[in-house]
Amino acid sequence: MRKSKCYITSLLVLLFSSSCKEEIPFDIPVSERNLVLNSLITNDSLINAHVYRSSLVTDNFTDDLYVNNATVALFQNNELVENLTFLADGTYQSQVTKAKAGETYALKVNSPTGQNAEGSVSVLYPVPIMAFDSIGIVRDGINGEKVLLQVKFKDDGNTKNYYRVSVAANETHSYYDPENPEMRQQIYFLRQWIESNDPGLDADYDNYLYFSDVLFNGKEYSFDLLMNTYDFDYNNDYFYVLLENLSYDFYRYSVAIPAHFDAEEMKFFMEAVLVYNNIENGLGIIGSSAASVDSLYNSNYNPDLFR
Amino acid sequence: MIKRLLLISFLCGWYNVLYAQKYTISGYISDAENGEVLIGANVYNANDYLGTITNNYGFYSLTLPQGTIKLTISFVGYSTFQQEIQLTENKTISVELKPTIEIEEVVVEGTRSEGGVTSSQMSLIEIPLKTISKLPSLLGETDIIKSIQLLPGVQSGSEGMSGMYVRGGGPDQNLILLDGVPVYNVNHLFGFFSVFNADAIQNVKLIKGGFPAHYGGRLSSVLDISMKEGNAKEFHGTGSVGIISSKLALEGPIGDKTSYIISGRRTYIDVLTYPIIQAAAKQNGMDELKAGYFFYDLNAKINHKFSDKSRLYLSAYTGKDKFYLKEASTYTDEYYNPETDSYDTEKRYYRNEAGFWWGNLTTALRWSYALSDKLFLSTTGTFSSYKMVTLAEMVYNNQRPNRAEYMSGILDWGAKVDFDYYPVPNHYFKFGVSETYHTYNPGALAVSYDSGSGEVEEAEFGNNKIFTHELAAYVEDDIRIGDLLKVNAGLRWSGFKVRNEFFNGLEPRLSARFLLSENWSVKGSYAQMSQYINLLTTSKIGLPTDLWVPATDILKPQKARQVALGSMYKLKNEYEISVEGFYKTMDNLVEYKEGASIFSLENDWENNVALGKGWSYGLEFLVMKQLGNTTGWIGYTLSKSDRLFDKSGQEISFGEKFPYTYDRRHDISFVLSQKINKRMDIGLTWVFGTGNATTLGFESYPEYNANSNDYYYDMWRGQVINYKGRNNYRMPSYHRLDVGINFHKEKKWGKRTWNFSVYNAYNRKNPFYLDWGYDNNTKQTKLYKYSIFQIMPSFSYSFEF
Repeated sequence: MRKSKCYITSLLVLLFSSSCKEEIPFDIPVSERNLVLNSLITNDSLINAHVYRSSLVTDNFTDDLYVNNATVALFQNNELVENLTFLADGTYQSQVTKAKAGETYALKVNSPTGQNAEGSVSVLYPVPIMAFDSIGIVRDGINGEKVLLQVKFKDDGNTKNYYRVSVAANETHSYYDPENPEMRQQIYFLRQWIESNDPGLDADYDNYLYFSDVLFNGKEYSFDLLMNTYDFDYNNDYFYVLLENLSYDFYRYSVAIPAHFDAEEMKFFMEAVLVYNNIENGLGIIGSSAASVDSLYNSNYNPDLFR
Repeated sequence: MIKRLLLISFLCGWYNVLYAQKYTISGYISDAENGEVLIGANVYNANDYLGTITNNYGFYSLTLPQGTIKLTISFVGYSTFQQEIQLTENKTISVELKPTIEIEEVVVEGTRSEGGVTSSQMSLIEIPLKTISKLPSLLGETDIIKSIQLLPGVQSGSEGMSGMYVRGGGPDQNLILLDGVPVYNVNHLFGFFSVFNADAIQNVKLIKGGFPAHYGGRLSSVLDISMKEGNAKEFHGTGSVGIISSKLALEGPIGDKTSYIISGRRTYIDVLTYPIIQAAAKQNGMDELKAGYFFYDLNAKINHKFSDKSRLYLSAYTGKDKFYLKEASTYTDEYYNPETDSYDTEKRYYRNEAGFWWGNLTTALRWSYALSDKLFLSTTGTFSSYKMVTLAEMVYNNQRPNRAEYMSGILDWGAKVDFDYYPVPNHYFKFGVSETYHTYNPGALAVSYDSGSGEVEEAEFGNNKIFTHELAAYVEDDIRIGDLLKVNAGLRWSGFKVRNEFFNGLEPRLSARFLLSENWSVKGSYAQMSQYINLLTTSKIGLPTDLWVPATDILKPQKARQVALGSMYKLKNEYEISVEGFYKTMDNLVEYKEGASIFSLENDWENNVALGKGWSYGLEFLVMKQLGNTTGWIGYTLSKSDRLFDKSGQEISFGEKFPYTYDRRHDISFVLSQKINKRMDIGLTWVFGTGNATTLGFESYPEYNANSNDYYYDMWRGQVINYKGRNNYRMPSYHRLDVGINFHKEKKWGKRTWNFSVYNAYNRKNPFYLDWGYDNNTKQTKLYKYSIFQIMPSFSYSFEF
């Protein structure tokens, strides 16, 4: 199919290379740039907010999008708890308040130009992971062999749940420190490349897999995911799985984002994908995530043991 | 209501049968010059205007009271036949009408056509092929679909495309029949040309609403195209040579009872570019280079007359578009050999082959038989197939070929039995049954490749074939109630078996006309339609990769209800003036979900689609002149068409109502064909349409980045375009003037015609596509429109012998 896409694209390019291009006199029906607020509030964590301004399609790319002198007020259950502290490049963070499950948080942004934007979200409770294990090796078409992992959990039947899952590994890297002339080691937790053929999968983006409980509401469910066999090398001692219970708005936004970018790349073959926003008087998203973590010991660093 | 009308009509009809001595005249009406049957010719008694029309096989049956009748037979473009007959017994009268030369057109006083004003059918337009052939054309190719697009209520889609969007419906909602067989893809070269070769076509009929019950399976229109039967009198041929293609049609009799027609058309862009490509291959030192594109059509039909009552027809169409590329090279590769610590050379070879083709094959075998002078039977077996294949193969040195083949399509086997029954002049019944076995192939990719160890690995992806049965039964009656009212009442039952699901339903149809005067009528209609087939398309252009898929337990059948009201007036027997208003609702419309496309192979197609609703309403005006030296029409449509996809998980445009891509508020067409003298005629078309709706974003903003707590990653976030809604912006309006002139000359061997056409005569840069672009001079981002066809002159030479 990729080939046919290439042919059709080539033919269309040929068509348009012989076509005529003419400017359309046009007034952008947007009077001023919108304030943008992005925040994912995670339980038991300090609260971050990213504040930008939108840009018009006619703006120059070099325009600075960060809004650095804004006031970002944090409300917990409608009560002001603190103003977030500016860190850098449009990023603001709470100094005291850590998000708690079951609480509702609102962020109100007041920009130096007088623009206001706000949004709120309730933080959900994490859904405990019952098991995380590898269950074998599968052959995946022409892409080679992959380790099949399974995350088991019990969905809450009283609510609609929206999940995302990711796998991180601790990787140790050695580097030379010129200030103290010696080799040093640093441990990184890096999200691993994962994919899934699970029927519930709604989106796959940035090494996160998104799915909802529409197929298993209120039941125990084992979500399958695949990792390359070569990830099971000597670099990793453990693999950590994060199962996040997401707010609906953030899920809706997150699922739309990869589709949106794909559609922009393939304008001829796809209609534009509209991305959901939940910021009043502005753009962006405020969402919540509550994560459960489990780990898998990478024994003997040998994927053949999973066969 | 329908039951009551049927009851009344039965009673009226059978009363006459019981209490008056009547006899039946039946027979066939055909063209005196070539023996082609005339479809829809008027047959009536000029004393009381009781009459009927010929069916699709040229057959008529008219039952009248005993006595003297003035049998009159008329058809547009033919001299009217009139004969006084003493009707004292059943008679078989077959008549051959002589074509008139327009300049000598004779209109018989007192004639009354059963079409147009007096017909109970509304929203029907028949365009004479003669008119179509005189219109200016793109690159000299007379195009039936493009001519249909000039009619009110029919939108053309994007610039130059052959897609048809009728009364706010989608391209899959048109039942396009070629000799009764559905044709699934009517496009050549992405829709710049349609697959119908005008030389092989006898009759074109478009129905936009008030559908008679014998048609079904689509929501928005029926385009019924009949192929010529072939000249039954003598051998003839027509052909033309144009800039991009040539065509030839041959027809003639085989003995007394059989006639045939065969016609072909092929483009030769690939032939013309062959020397250039070979020169390029030689210059680049390649062993082989072949690349090109062509399309061809082949129509054939043979019919045999066993007797006056029994005829057999076999017709076939096949056509294909093909892009191909084949390249091969041998070259010397230099590489480092660590064993000898030197650079060695080796001869290497590669071959790439790629192809992309799509095409239709349709066949119909039909037997028609007049069971009695009142009952006519037609039995048809059909086959239709549409297939799209993409192939890529690469061979490197002695490895086995790496090959990928993507295929999609649809294949139908069908059978139907139709009856025409003329019990009394006030009733014309049609009833029948049909069954079609569909095989859907909604996209499968087969890959084979050399694993490197000499073994060939194979893998298959995509969707499984789906097998379905589509059934239908119908009955309709064209009822004349008194002198003023005529009603066509019908009922269609349709069923669809897919997997373990069986959908079925009744589709009532009703249309009526009331005569206000001899030349003026008002009409109304109601039609309920079901559709069990969907086309998954990006809706931007008609790509051959668009998928035909069936209704399933997830995708419920599409349904539509349409009411139409209108009036038709015939002025001086030359002009037909009509105005029609319509309102149509559509359910279970199918679109790709946001973010899904033909390339979403990783998921089953059923999970990639959304179901929604549609509304369309409008007013259509048409003034048409079909007789005389000046023919043509002026059409205007004022309409609105919206869509709503708001089901949970299937929301499009945030689940809010949005304009359909081809929602066009104003659509105007002006079509003129003027005969100057016997040797020259000119054609002119001018069209204007409100710009298509398109989705355009004016603003962007940073996405929430999963790594945004990490400063390093924050800089990599993407920019999200803020779209206010789907189809939120209107392209600039579309307008275009085409002109053409034909020079005819009689030759010893026949007749030749030179055609000179100018497409887009005043060089309007109509928008095909809008996109943002950066202007290096002004250092600004601007909105640009891309136009495909600017002024385009062409010529063709055609001949008849």
